[in-house]
Amino acid sequence: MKLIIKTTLLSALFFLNMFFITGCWDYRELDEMAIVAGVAIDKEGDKYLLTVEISNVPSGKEAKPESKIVSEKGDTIFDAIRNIIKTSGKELYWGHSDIIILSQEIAREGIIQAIDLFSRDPEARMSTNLLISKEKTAAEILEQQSTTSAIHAKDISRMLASQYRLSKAPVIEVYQFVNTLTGGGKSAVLPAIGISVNQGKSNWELSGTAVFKKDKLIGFLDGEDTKYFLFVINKVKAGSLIQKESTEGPKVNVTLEILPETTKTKIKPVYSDGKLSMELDVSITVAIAEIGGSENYISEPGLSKLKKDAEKSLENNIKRVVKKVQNDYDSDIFGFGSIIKDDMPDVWREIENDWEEIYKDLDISVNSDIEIINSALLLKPIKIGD
Amino acid sequence: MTTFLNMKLNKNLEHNIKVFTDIFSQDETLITRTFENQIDNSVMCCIVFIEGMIDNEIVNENIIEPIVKNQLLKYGANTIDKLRNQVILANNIQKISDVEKLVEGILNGDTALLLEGSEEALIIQTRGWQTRPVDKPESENVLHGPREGFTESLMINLSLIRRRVKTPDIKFTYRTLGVQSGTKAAICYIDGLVNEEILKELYKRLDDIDIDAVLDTGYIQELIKDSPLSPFKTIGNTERPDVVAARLLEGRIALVLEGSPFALTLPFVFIEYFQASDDYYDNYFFATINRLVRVIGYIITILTPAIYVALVTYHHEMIPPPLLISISSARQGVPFPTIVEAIVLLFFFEILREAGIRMTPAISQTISTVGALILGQAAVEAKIVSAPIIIVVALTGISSLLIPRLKAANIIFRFVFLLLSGFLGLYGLVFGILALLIHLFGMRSFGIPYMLNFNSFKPQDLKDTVIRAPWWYMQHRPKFIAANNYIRKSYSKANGGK
Repeated sequence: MKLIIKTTLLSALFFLNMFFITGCWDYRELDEMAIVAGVAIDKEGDKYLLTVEISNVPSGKEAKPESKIVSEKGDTIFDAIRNIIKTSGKELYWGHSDIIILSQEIAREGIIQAIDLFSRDPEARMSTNLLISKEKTAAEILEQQSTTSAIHAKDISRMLASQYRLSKAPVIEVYQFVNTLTGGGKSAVLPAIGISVNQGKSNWELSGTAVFKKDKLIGFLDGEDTKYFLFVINKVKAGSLIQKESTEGPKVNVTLEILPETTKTKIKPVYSDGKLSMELDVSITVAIAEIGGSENYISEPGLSKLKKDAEKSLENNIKRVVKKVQNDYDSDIFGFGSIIKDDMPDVWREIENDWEEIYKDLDISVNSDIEIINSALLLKPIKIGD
Repeated sequence: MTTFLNMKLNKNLEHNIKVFTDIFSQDETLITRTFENQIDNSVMCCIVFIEGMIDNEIVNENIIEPIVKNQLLKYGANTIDKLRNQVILANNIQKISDVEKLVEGILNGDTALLLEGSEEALIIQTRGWQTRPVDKPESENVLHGPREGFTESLMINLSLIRRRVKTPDIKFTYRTLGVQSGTKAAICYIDGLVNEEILKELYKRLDDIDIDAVLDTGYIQELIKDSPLSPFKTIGNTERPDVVAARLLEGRIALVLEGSPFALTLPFVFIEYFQASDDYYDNYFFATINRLVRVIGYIITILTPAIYVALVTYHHEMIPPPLLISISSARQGVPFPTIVEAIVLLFFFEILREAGIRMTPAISQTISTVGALILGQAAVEAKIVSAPIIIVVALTGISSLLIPRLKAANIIFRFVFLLLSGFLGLYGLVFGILALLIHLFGMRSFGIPYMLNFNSFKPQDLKDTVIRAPWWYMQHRPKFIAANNYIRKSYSKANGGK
């Protein structure tokens, strides 16, 4: 009898504990929280200045969210977030925050303290997009009025989502950035965002790459260079290549559309006579999207020439960007180091300590193969009739 | 209670009449009518019957008239046999001297005929009372298929079943249930299909019933069911003779009760909740879609409020941002927590449902208008509840109508799940669902697993579950239930029924 009571009590205790030790006690009503759309982090003196965009929902029949921007200072990010409650009145909810914009100043000083909380906190998503502001502060990016929707951060994250059609900026989420930082053999990059003035209206411009060395920002690549950088790291999904061509007479622009998911880059390290070099193999499938003249590049011999010229200029451009990064920034954003580590672990162990020196003078050879498969709806260039 | 055990008939007619008037003392519906033969007035008879229970025409023309007008009748020792064999025109006459049996006969609408100078009496079947004609089954409407439903008359009901299964193998066995009510019940099954074990178990449970009266099959259902504390039924009931016939042909047993238009069928397994008789008469694609709708409707009706509350109060990250924003805006200014909103509105829905059931159609229309207006619009505009919860409750309510027979279980589990997710989020809800599944999979109906075929992925087992396979493919009866005769088609006999 005693045993039965004992087992019943014990199992009841186990059963109750199942509920109490889960750590799921986060009951919160929706209307009591401020839904954060995005955040910009600046530094003012010793303090962090946090600018938070909140999707403010007015009550009423038509639920049109408005953007409400609040900012507060704090010694750490967490401190600043807690301080915001003073002004917003509601607790911030980070589960649907889409973007984190960091100022150049923070990035140059070292980015870790600014993003640690966002990868540590259970509420903020690891898949939040990180951006670096090209402007003086990060806040002015977030405060920039959107032309299309009420919530600024939503617009920026939509820009990032459709970025793959352009391939002019990398798209990096918090966990990817942290993984790159901690992985070794590769330097981190982030997309850069600025404000450009267009037809008298200022708007965001998402273009270019912020190049890091360790956790510090050391410079930017522009949009065009970013494209070739993305070719190297095999991240081009779609986009276009513009080829200036001429057989006779003035040059015309031929636009080649990179067909989605066709780009493939293979990097192979070669080690001979104690010297390392990298071999890049790029293959792309493209279609002729636009011909700026009436010369025929759709049928031979124009087609072969176009293909050869396009391949050549792609190779040159890739080489140029790699050289530029090697010389100007001395940062292995292409991940050559980690490729050697994977493919030739023995060699890597030898050179690991001297990698920075070796990287600076690393030779690369590029071999590209552009396959032109169609010319959209027209089989011929548009020729003016006689 | 009158004891008539010590009362005996003797040769004196007056005494015999008094026996009955004593037993039925103060009952003015008991009629005794004395008459004699025109020629030999020593042939004195008395008929005893209860007014309203008999067919007057039968009594007048087939009992009184032949006896009174008979020219050849002479009083003698065997007059009572002569009356039975040569005079009275009735298809069922018994010679009885046992007062108890006579009383039972009279109570059932038979007429007792007492004869001067005889210790025995005749009990003549003259039953004839008004019954409701065979009508549409109200609780199980169909678009396709037969429209006949059971009535309150046992005999009519049995004939409705018999007309559908014309084989001498179909058996009807009577039992009398209820000490006071003495209600007649018929247990029907098809010999050779029925699982003898289940039949034996049924008889055992029926014999164990100790109750004064059974007024509807609902009594029996509750008295003999497995898992008496479970809200789920383990015995099916139906108003439709075609459903009973189909169940009998699957090897199940039916119990039809005098006075109840609902027949019980057993064993009953969970999937039968989702089977409607339309399914078998309609195109099988359509039937399969309807089955799926019902199963999904069941899941919606027990889980939607719980999932909504869990998402809105615990797992905000699982709601797409635009929806989160619109829910958040709808909740601005609403005074109660979401869980309270949900409980109150679900309770309101139950009030409306219960109010509508017993009202005449004219009033129930008023109820639905008032309900829709008060709950749907005014409450939202007055900011007492938020709009999304109205949608959730409406969805829950509508889909609960898909499986009307599951009502009770639905209400209970809906509230249990709601409370669990209100206090623990999806974590609690998962616990609730686990508990429900453990409960369902642990149940048995007369030894048959309640979740029969739910844990199987064999095409044979799935034919008549969430999908309804075409008839030419349904060659087998449900397993375990028709264990003796598994194959449906005519060759089952040729194959020795295995």
